[in-house]
Amino acid sequence: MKPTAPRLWAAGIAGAGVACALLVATITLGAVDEAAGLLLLLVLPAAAVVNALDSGRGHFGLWELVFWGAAADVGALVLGGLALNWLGGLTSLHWAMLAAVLPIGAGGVAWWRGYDADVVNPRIARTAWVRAPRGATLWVVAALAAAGALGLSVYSSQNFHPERFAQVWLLPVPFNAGSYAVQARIGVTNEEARRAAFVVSVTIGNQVILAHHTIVLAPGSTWSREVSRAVHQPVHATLALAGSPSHIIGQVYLAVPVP
Amino acid sequence: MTGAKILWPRLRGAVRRSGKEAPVAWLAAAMALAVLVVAVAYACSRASYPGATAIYWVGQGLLYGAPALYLLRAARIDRSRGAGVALLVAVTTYLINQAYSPGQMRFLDEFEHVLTVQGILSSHHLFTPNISLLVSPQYPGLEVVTSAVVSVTNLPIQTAAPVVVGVLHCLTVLGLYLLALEITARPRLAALAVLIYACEPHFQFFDSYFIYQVMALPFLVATLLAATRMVKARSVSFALAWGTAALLLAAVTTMSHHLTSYVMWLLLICIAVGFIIRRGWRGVGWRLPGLLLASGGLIAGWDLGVATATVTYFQHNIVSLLVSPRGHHRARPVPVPTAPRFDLLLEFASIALLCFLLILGGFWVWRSRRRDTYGLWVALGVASISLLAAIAARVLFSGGAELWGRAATFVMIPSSVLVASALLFVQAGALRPRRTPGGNPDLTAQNSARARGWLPGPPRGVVFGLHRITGWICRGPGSARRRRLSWVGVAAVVVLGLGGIAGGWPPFYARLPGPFLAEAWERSIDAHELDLATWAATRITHYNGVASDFITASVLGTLGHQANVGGLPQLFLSSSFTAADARLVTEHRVTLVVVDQRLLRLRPEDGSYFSGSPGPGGQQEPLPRPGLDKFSAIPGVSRIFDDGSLIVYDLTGSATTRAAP
Repeated sequence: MKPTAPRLWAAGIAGAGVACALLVATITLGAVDEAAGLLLLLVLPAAAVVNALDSGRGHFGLWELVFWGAAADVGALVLGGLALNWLGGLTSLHWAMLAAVLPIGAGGVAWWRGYDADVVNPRIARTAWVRAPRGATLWVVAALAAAGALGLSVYSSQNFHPERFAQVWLLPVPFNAGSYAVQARIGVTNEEARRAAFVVSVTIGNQVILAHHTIVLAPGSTWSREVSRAVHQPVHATLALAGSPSHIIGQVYLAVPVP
Repeated sequence: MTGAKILWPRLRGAVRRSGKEAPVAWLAAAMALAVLVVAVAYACSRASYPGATAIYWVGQGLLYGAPALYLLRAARIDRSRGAGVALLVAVTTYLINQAYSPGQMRFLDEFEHVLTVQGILSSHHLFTPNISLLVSPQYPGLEVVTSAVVSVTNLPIQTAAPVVVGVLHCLTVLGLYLLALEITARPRLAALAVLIYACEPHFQFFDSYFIYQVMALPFLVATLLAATRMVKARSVSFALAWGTAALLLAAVTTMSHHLTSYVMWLLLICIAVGFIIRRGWRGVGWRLPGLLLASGGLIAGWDLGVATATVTYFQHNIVSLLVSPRGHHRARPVPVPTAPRFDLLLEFASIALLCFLLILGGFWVWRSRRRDTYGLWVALGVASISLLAAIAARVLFSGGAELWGRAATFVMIPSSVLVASALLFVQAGALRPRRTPGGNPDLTAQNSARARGWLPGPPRGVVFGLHRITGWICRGPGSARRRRLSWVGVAAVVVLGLGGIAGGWPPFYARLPGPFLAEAWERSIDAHELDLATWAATRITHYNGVASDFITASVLGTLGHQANVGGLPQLFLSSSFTAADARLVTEHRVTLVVVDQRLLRLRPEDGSYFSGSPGPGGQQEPLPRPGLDKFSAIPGVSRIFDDGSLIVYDLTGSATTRAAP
């Protein structure tokens, strides 16, 4: 068999699949994992199926190939997931192996079906509307408008009427003990979307444990502290912003259980 | 000079080509601009600017109007341009969906499927129970693919899910285009059918959410496409190959969504009926019956052997869908909030137009009964009858809007092709031969129309004297008439699109994003709710019984990993904690009560705060303060969480829960 263009393309896709699988399995680096993983799962199997279906024969147009390639890819993942469930579990290693096998298998079919000549599907070659120069400018304009729309949405959802608040919570330890717990954990989470100072006051029975204790929290971060009590002692905690300590923005308590 | 001689013709050819090829790019720019306008409307709504709604309608009008204008006016639509239009429709509508809430799911059903994904990721196995939606793990197609993406890329579910859904959304639309192209062999008609399908009420949002139906839809379309290819295949080996493909695709549909698999089977029956009418029993052969038998066996096997909760699920939901709005989320009827008049006008205008065009399309099918592909057209016609049934449900049932929206996702698949052909038929009808004073037919316009691919078939005259009705449009030379009628067609598509939005999802009160509203679906999912759910999932034990308003209980029952005990409105409507309340708490094993203080000042947009009952005074009155404050006065009850709006009470120490079995 001559190594013609369709066959070399099939070998390239299969090789890329193996490389991506190795990357995913060995390297734990956010961007690399994400790019290699998405290629491995959603692009390479589809490309391999497209190549296997077409192999330069021209039975399908470009968009038919795209559709059948993507559908075969996603469908293979669904049926493959069912198979993995029976074969040992849907772990990341198993997924990487399955996703690498798909382009290799489809590449094998493409190699077997490939013509012994460098041919290009004429129906793909005719799809020219994305290549026209004037069109290219307009496509860029379209992409910018779409990106602008998404950017505006992200900005407005984060900055127009944002929810700003703080959570205060008081949990029995262990939680299932409820009011019978002799340990409790008090916590404050800052959801003000900015660095903020809070004042926490805690009393157990008649004893003040924390009196106007000031904590400074970064956005999204949590402060917590564990306290002990007797079952007959209620625990009470209040939260205020350091800017106006008299204005209570949250209060929690652990009651004395009813006998 | 020699170089110039060689280069100049090439350059000139490239410029001419670009002039011909540019329209799809122009269309892309116009549709992206429409998305930008809608995003501006969303931003204005978030800033509580009153003109947001008007801007929104302008953007949506442009989104449907631009491709309609292109499809009805462009001189030539070949296959790749048609596919380009279809993909643009898919991408731009999905961008609008994402612009509504970038990076954050806000639909309750999505959270149920997130829970299933979390189950797969934690157990590494399928079918992990999900108490918020028992059938979800039993149809795990969507969750399998999402968990694969999460496992391999380490992306969070909230990021992986939109990627998967985006791919599926584009696949559905491209598949519809190819299916329509397979049946009609006319790219213009196929692309217009896709645009008409995009007008269905749930297309932009509900059908692009992270819910299991979204996975099944492209495979339903792919199954139909493969089945059509199988039927049309001239050799046995090709028929076998397409039949095998159809069966595999049907298997994916079956393990992804129950209802979609049933619709798939019914549509396959419609194809069989179409071919029986066309060719007779003998002409159908073994192919379609074989596929029907095999796919039917798959569905029955899966539903009876694996998805054992399906029967119970349908028993409960069909009844509640028929008697109540917002279907399965309400146990008893509640007052339906009335949409603004403008919305109702748009919705019913679009429904009326849809009916008219469907009937016209049906008539055109009958007129073209001598065509080779008549069997497939009859299949479309038979399947499209269901559209009329769905519209009847919209008009007759109190909860008809949701029924219509849900049904439209499926019934518009065949109907969109008929409606599109009716639109082109009307346009071509205006180009029918005019008698000149000498009595000779003027065939120029008709020939021109056929050359441009506007006439769906051989000239057969005009139905119902439509040319007389539209005569006032059709004065003047052919080009002027075409221009006027194409604008009428554009207006029709815009009315269908805007009408679909007006009667679709999200409901009118949540159509634009913005500050929190009580019981308003997407508008009720804010940082308070989401952070409380995260807190519950990470700080306390799982599956405590939670009683709260509908939205809060649903969020806690899914993302919060707690047990939503369902609607207990009585618990919140009485001014003091009575013995009856204590009994409710005991019977339903309520451990946590979550009170949303905002319900004291906001009325429920959906007509009710709780699943099962309207609030006091119907939908007009916010909840009374004593009903929410009384929990702090119960002896032994602890207040364990407070964020200024949401308060969580733990009933464990009170006498009520102690009596629980």
